[in-house]
Amino acid sequence: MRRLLFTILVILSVIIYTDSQARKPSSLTERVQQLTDLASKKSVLRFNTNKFREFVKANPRNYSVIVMFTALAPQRQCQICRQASDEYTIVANSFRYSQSYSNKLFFGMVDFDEGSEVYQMLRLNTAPVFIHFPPKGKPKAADTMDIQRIGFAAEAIARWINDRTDIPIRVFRPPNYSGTLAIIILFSFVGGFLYLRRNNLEFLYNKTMWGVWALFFCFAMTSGQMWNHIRGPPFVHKNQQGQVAYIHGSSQGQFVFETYIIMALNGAVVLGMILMTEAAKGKGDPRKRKFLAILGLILISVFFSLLLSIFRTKTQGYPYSFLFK
Amino acid sequence: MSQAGTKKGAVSKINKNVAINSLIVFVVLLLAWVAGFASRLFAVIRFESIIHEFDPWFNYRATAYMVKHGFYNFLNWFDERAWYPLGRIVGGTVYPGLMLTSGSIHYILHLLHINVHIRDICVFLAPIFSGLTAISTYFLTKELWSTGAGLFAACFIAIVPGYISRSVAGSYDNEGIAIFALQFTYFLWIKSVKTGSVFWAVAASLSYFYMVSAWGGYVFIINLIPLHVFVLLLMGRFSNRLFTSYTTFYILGLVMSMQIPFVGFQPIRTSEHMAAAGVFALLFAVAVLKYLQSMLSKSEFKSLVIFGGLIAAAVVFVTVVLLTYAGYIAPWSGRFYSLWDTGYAKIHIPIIASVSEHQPTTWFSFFFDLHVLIPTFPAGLWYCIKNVNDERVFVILYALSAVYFAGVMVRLMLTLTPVVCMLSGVAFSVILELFVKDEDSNSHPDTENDETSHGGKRLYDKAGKVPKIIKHESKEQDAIGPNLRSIAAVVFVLLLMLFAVHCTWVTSNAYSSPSIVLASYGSDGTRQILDDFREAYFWLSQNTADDARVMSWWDYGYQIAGMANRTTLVDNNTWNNSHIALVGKAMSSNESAAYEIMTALDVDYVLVIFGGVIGYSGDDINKFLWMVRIAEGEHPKDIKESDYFTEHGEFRVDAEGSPTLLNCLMYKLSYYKFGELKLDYRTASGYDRTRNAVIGNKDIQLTYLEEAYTTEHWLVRIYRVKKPDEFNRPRIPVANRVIKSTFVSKKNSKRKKGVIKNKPVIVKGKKPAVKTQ
Amino acid sequence: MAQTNVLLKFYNEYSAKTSRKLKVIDAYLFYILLTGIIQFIYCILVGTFPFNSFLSGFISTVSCFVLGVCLRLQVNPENKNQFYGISPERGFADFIFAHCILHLVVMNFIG
Repeated sequence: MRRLLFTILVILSVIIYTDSQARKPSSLTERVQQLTDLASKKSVLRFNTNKFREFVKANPRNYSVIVMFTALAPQRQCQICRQASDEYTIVANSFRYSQSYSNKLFFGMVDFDEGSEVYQMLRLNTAPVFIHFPPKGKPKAADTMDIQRIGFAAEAIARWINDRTDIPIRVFRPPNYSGTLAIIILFSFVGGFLYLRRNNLEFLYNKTMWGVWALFFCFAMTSGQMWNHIRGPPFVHKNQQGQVAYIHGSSQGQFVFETYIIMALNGAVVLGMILMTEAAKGKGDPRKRKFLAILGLILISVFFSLLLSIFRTKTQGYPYSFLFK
Repeated sequence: MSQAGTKKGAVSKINKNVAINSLIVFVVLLLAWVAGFASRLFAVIRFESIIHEFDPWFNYRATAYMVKHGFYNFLNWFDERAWYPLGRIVGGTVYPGLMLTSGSIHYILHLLHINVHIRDICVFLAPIFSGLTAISTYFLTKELWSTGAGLFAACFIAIVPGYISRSVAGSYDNEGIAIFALQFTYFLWIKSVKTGSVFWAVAASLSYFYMVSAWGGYVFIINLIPLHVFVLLLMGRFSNRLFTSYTTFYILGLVMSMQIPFVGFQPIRTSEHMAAAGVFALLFAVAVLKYLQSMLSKSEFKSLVIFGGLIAAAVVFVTVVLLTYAGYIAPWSGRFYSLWDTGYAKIHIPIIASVSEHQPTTWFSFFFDLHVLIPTFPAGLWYCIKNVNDERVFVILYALSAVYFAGVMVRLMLTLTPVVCMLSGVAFSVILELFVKDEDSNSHPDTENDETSHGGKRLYDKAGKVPKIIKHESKEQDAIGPNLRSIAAVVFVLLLMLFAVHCTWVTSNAYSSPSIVLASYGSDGTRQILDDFREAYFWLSQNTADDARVMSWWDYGYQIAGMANRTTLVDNNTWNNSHIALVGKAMSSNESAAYEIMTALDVDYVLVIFGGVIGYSGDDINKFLWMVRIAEGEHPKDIKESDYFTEHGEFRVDAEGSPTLLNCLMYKLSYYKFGELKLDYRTASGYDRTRNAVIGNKDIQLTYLEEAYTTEHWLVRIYRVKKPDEFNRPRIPVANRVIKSTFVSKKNSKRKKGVIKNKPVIVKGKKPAVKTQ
Repeated sequence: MAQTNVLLKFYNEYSAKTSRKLKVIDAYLFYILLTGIIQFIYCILVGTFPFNSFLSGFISTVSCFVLGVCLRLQVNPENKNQFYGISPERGFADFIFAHCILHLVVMNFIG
């Protein structure tokens, strides 16, 4: 009798034990504790399918999870995933060191190669995607961040998170010393160079060199390189039929290739003028000088007419042309 | 005897040359002035003599105030009809040079009893000053190169579109006189560097004072001149002339520039002026060192220099950095900092980023504004570098810095224009001098012969050899045959003619619209004038109370104040971002939230610009997103830009637009009753021509406002804000209306009304009995 | 020390070489310098209110100093080849002209 009771107790305890083992630690506080521990080590948690189900999909939750669905493996060739991931990490780090840090918000990421079932479950077929999983209910349409419209800069992500969760995150970018470093390196190069050549500083008096630098700078500026630097236009434009347009159609924009063309044309006209003056002024072989003068004149007229005709194509209703339309 | 004869002959020939030269100069400059004046008159001829755009209206209003009330009242003017309820201290926030100039011209003309109205003076001030700019450019280029180059430069700058764009007749703005002051100051500076005379330096500082009073771009002068001095020091071109001119110019200019109330103590407090002070100190240090060098031997001097110089430079640099850190010296202000860090404005100061003039420049704008000068000015720059001296260093620095700034911001194309004209003048002068002048190269050696013979030079002894040398030289110079010369001359004349017609075309088509009167040309060329703006402002001035407050977006503030003479809430000065954000929030919220803001701000009328009927693309719905952004910057909890877009991220005004957009105040005010308007029989009613869509919310009801006026082409719409007791009053039928009487007599308890004793009874025709006492 | 020797040598050369006219100007410059220093010390001790008065006074001393230095340069016959066409009389006339303008502005600024 006692033996029977004992075996029943043993069997019951085994059953209870295996039962508790089979059921994963799924109480809320334990989960939050686990997440907090993981987050304190790394601000962006990597989830595979199981972890995703355990932490993000499980109920009940009293915390929000922001998940970035990305594909960082090299063979996926997703450049934008890498940039988005960097920005996302900045936001997660800023949150970690900010005053509003709490255990109500966690940052996670799911890579396609580790959690493809999650992708199927949520019916995602692009990357990167940022989804906010609220504590209660399913994520709505606005819980998917609209990258097309607001981009994936860290500030935009933080603003979107503030919209969805009312948790303000001040984005703290690690101070970018590359600018200062570049200037210091430049100065040390120039200083070292001047020191090495301190006995022979004649090259600084070479007017031709200064002239060439100054002219090059002028050409760069007047052909719109600053516009290119600020607005970042494409090199050329290929439309659907495969035709390449080298020159932007309207007067409000320009392509990079177009600016190079304009730089070359300006340079040619200036070269023509300088040739003509040198030919007229210089003392040398008269035939050669005549040839140079004619060449200069041709350069000026031809390339200025080209400039004018490109200008015409961009202006509606401009009636003047020089040598050719 | 023959020597004296040839001497007299040579002298008279020189006099004749000088006479003809000065006549030519005078005539060419006069023609340049007339041409510049005439080409700026397109708008006056096509429309009428009226002030254009937005900013000039404020300048005109300020000038009218000054003419009416006197100079001191103008300096102390507090304008309570702008930025209601804050008001604006006009005397301390405006550059008075423009108003002073027109005010003084007005005063002088009235003294001579030539009674010109102040409006005409304001309209035609800029064209007159363009002629003066041409003359000062001539003088400046003459100092730099030669008379021929000066004449070319003067003619270029008289008609070049880059300058015309801001100095058209009617564009009564600071730049019109500022460019003249700029060129004149530079001319006086170059003159003082060349001569080293204190007189010219004082004149330069006086001209600089005029420039400071005229335009905020004086920062360019006060940084370019120290840069010039610094580069000269680096090149080892220190001289006592440089020292006298710069120190006098700087110290007098400093004390004079602080007389302008707007500038105040900035010249010793902000980083933008620190370069000038630093170079001043540096120049003193270099001068002291040179003086010591003249007194001591080389080795002693060297030790003293290295010891003292390093200490001095380090001390100065550390002081400046410390003062900046400690806050005594303000760092670079946002407007100027954004020229270096081009991404700064978009993130931090969206108002600066939103102005279309602050965008970077495409090559198209360069060519459009400067035509043939853009490919030719680098040649002039090349020659200046090859033949460098103190003055030409200045022009080189001016050109390089101006070309960079013009590339960064379209508005600064204006500062590039003078230097491009000067350098192209130099280039053209150099080429044409070589290709055109040598026609009479044979006669030159003859006159030289005369001069040498009476000058008593050594060549007189070698009289036999001189003719041979002449023949040899003339053979050399004629290597470029007369045919090529004439072809080259013809080509250049053609280029210049192309330039002239281009300038006229550009001025006529692009820069001559008064923008307060719109004109459209029908298919057969008939012109239809849209005078809606003035119609609306006139209605406002006739039909509203004198102290009515008008709320509109800040673009129109100056025009409302100038033409309608009503109090505005925000205007183009944009000095208070929070106030603008409040107005933006009112425009972007729904009607009840907007009404709260409007009652708090005490608004009587709201004015919106709506271009849907005529297809005008500069209306308020197109500017709406900027209103939202600026409001969101101050009230991020209430206004979110994403609410105004559809789910796909589009900004649409038709039925698929976001509901926040379709119910906001701006939408309602723009499209009120527009849903019933059919523009023509083919299109549906409510078709917005600017956005090319049928509007989404056709049946708009307004609770808190009522429509006061809409102009002929629906361009300007004015609404009156209802007072709290005017709306939502329940309507009680006549039978139920009860007049409550709560009269209680204090005289008796019976609640009787009192009576008048001995009330006189009046019978018509009879005198009442009067009690005489 | 080497520095003091250099300074002594400088002083001796100075007394020997410079003419009387220049020494008068130098004395005037020294006096202006003292005035400027006194003004600055006063400002540090008493405070900068009213700032425009302090500024106008201080800048007045600095500009008088500068103009004096310019006059000295232009009057010094050693520098004649650097200033073409500016005789000492012309230099003095410019000096007076500049002072007129300067004091007009200072009087306006002093408040």
